[in-house]
Amino acid sequence: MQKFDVIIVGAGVVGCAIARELSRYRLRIAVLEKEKEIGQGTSKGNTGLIHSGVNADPSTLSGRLNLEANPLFDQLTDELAVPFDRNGSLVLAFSSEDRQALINSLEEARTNGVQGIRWLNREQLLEKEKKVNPEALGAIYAPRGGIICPFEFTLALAQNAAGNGVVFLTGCRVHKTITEEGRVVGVETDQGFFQGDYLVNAAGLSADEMNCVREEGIRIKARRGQYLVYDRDYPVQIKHTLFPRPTPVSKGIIVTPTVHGNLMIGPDAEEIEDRSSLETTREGISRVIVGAKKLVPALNTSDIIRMFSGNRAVAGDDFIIRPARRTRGLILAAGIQSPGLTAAPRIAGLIKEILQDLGLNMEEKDDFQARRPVPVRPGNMDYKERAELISRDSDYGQIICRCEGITRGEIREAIRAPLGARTIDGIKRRTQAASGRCQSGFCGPRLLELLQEYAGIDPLQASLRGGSSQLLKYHSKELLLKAGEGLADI
Amino acid sequence: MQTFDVDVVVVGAGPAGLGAAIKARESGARQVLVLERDYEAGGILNQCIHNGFGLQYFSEELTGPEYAGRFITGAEKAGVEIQTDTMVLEITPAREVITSSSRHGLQKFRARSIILAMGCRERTREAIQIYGSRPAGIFSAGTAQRFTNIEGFIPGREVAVLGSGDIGLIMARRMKLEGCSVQGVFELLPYTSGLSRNVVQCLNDFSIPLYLQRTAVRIHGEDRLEGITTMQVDKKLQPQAGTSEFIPCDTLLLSVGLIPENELSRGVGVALDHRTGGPLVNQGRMTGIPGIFACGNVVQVHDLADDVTRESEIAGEAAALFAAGSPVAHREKVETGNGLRYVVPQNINIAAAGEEDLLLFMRAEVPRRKIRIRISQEGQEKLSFPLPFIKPGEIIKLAITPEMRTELTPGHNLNIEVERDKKNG
Repeated sequence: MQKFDVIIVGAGVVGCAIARELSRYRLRIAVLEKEKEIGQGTSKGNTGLIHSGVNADPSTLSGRLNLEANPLFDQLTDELAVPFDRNGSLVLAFSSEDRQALINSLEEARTNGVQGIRWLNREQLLEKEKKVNPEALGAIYAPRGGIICPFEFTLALAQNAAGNGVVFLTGCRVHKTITEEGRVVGVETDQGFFQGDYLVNAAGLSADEMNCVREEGIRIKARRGQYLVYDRDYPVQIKHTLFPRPTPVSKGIIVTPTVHGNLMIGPDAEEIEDRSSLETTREGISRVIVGAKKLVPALNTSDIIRMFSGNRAVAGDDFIIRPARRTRGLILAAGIQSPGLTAAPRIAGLIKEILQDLGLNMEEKDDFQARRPVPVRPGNMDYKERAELISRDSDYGQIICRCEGITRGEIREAIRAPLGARTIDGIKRRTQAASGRCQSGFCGPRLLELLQEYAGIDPLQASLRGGSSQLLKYHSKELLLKAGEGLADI
Repeated sequence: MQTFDVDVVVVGAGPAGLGAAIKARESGARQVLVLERDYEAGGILNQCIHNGFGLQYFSEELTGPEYAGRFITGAEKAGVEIQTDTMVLEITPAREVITSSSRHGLQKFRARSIILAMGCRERTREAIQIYGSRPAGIFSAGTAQRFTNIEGFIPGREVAVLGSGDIGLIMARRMKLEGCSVQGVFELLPYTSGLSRNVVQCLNDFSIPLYLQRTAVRIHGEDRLEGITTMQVDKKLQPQAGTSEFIPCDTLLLSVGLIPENELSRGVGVALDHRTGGPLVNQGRMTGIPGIFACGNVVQVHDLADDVTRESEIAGEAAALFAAGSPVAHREKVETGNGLRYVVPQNINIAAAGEEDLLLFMRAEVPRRKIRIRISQEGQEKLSFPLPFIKPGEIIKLAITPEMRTELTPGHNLNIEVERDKKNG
């Protein structure tokens, strides 16, 4: 039986950030993830923004952590070798009421420590971002707002944590928290019992499926947001992240570039019953288009390469980060809706402080490695460097995904690396292969070959994202042979 | 990076690239190099194991691999060099082609002329915006064709086909031949977009139902596809309330159109025609950049490989002449009027066409019967071609003979349009 000091449930961005933070200390840590790969829930399907905090309310936990976390990202993304761009945010005013409210919020934001923010009038706004709706009266400019790939950030946190000794178990659903005299002693899972002194629930949408969490009276609701992603060659190019004036419940439908160079619009916000459903709907997508066109009228629906939706875990108005009241040793990180991605490093810090307060002995390691190996990206190199790379390792010469120019070497490493890809979506999220305009039409068959070659996965077992999402069901002629056997009986 | 000088570089070893390369050699080009990203030459024809190829060009019926095989052998005989497993990263306006491969690393080829023959790709689910979940089991018809015919796997057992492009029709039959149950082909428009012969030979002959003006509006199933909701659409293509029907299926094949692959063309600055999705070309298939030519599905999505071959030979010859220092400049534009989606070539030179027929390819906007195609200059009718019917799924080819060209005035643009044929009608 395996024994851990801390068991973290859920390998989303929050669970992985906690794992990475705790991996600085001499602790035995496990992260248990029910999906086949890490980062498959809310962390893969969101807007990918590092919020400036311009509209953050420091009297709430989410607002405070947002403000505290934003400045951490330069060092963090440098250590983790994750692409990050402080592209700057613009919050647009369309009425004199909007304008007054936004100007009023500027002073408050400055007091809250948000750096570099200023008001732009219409001319200044249009100079900064040419395709913005000229009906906008002005905007708050927040230069410290940024964009990141939420999946790659999650993966990098996890790989770095794994490199520092954290055990990750995927395909490992937690059925039950086991307690003795009101104190956590372990968890019952798909892969057996794991003994643990402390249990951190970072299970996102599934947080309230654990018995002890339900006893806390916490109920998670899923709030679905739908998105559209444009081809990189789409003629409307936007540099900044554009927001409408926020409402009390939502930051609204935004228009943003991604770190991969695509334009993305969304999300709408809709509470749904089935929290695992990731459906897109006609109504939702048209809400997104209407909302985005308000900010950038030139947008249309041509050159869309992807529609998707993501669900946020909502438990009331704020994050719930605290020790459980009824179960000793259980710590909650629940209801991490927006701005959870931004806040993740500070959520991790807070969890660490809570564990310390609860009496967990934390002794710093002297061999903690803050850096993760930098993924090799031939597409970002000049030709000289690239030619040298290929002469050292010829797999970086063969292009597998023609739309995004991803090589065999990159896919090989995505599969072989710690917490490597085991599904088509896993390869896609790690390398961008299959995320381009053909959406795996050409490289799909090749990716199955590579999953077989580097991970030994039979093509008939290879799946889109685990579960029963296998892509291919039969060998050629298999159905005919089966039918033939039937005939022989007659 | 090693650098090489070559007369003609051809990008793509499908039927277009191979046909152009052979013709370029036959027309005097010394070194002709074909660059192919796939493991083998032949392009998409390698997976088109059905027959029906070559009826026009070879006057016999071949399978896709047989048709490709003739050009692969022809290229060898003509002394064309083919480098497979090699991807073109970039083309510069100075006609340098930079490639990447495991075997040769990065290479730079300085070419006297370049022929773009990258073919086309299939439109995806996103391009037509079908709502619902995102399960496994949704493939473009061509990808399913590759899995079935080359990789040796069948995606599923119960198949629905959305869209009636030729690959969709052929794959409907192919799946049936593999023992799958094919629920039907669903087409948004009131007519099919594939060839009539494919409707007859692939659907009718195999009792596969065709549903016109009916489309998929929602995808069901979380991990694996469980079915689609289809609805009847009205003339404005809007789904009609009360017509929805659930079609159970574990596999959905999309055959909803093809898009010329012009990322390299765009990168070097070749001007594209928004109607064809391909470069604007002259009668020698030269693009707006001198010395860069294009042919096949990268210029316009053809119905028949035979037509691709004809177009590739035009480009191959012109590219060889350009490499030898005798380029052909265009003088007149060909403009499309009423009833036509596009015409290729978009630019011509009436005086310089020589003794050859000038071949015009065009596509109808909607199906029509008893029409004539009218070619006029400066508002005056110059030539007229009566046709019993036209339909968008079948390309229209008109040969303007040297004799007909005497009717045309050099220096004046041509306008081509469809008219009701009063004499026939």
